[in-house]
Amino acid sequence: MLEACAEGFTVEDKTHRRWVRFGSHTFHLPLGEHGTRDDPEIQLGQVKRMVRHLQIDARCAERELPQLR
Amino acid sequence: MTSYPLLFGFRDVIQGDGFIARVAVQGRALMQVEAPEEVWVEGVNPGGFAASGHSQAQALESFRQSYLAILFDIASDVADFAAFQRGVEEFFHDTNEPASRDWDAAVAEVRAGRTDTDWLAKRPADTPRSIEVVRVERPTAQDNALGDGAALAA
Repeated sequence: MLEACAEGFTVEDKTHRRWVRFGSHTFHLPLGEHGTRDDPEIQLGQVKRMVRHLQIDARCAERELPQLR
Repeated sequence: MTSYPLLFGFRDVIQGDGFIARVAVQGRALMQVEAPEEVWVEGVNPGGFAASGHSQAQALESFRQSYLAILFDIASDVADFAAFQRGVEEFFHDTNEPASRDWDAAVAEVRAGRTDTDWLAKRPADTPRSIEVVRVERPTAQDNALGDGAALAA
């Protein structure tokens, strides 16, 4: 989704969070020990909020990830 | 879905390589109850992170832990206190603009009496937001203080 909808984005894994940067904004996704990375519902909620904060084109994001609708 | 506009105050002591810093934030967040057991809290200032839980209390605790985790990431990433201070200030000022608009709308609902809670104190919605990052040169017990916790913006 990021490749298609957020040209110029960067992703960097830190100790506790995955930092996704796009434009002038950064979103911090959970990763690691609490298992959220493997929980599809939590992951989807995080991605929805990342799209919102990074101001990614919502229509593009929904086209790439229909679960976001 | 019910939205609650929150104000929160946290105080933390963070260790970095060669420094100790005290971070005090007065921030805003938006809580959304999406389903009976699905509660989300999204940062407005600072923006850029969200947390969830099966209850309001659990979502708030998860939000608190997420906030701390990001401070720890910033501390791990920098070589000195000045860089830590810049990183934390940048994090705080990365406002979640869409959530900020929803936060304002949620405050209007609280003021109109259409949203209320009995599990949170209320504070004025125009309570100033701030971030303070101070180097701790000489730790003293009198610097210990609890944060304000979370309150409903009204």
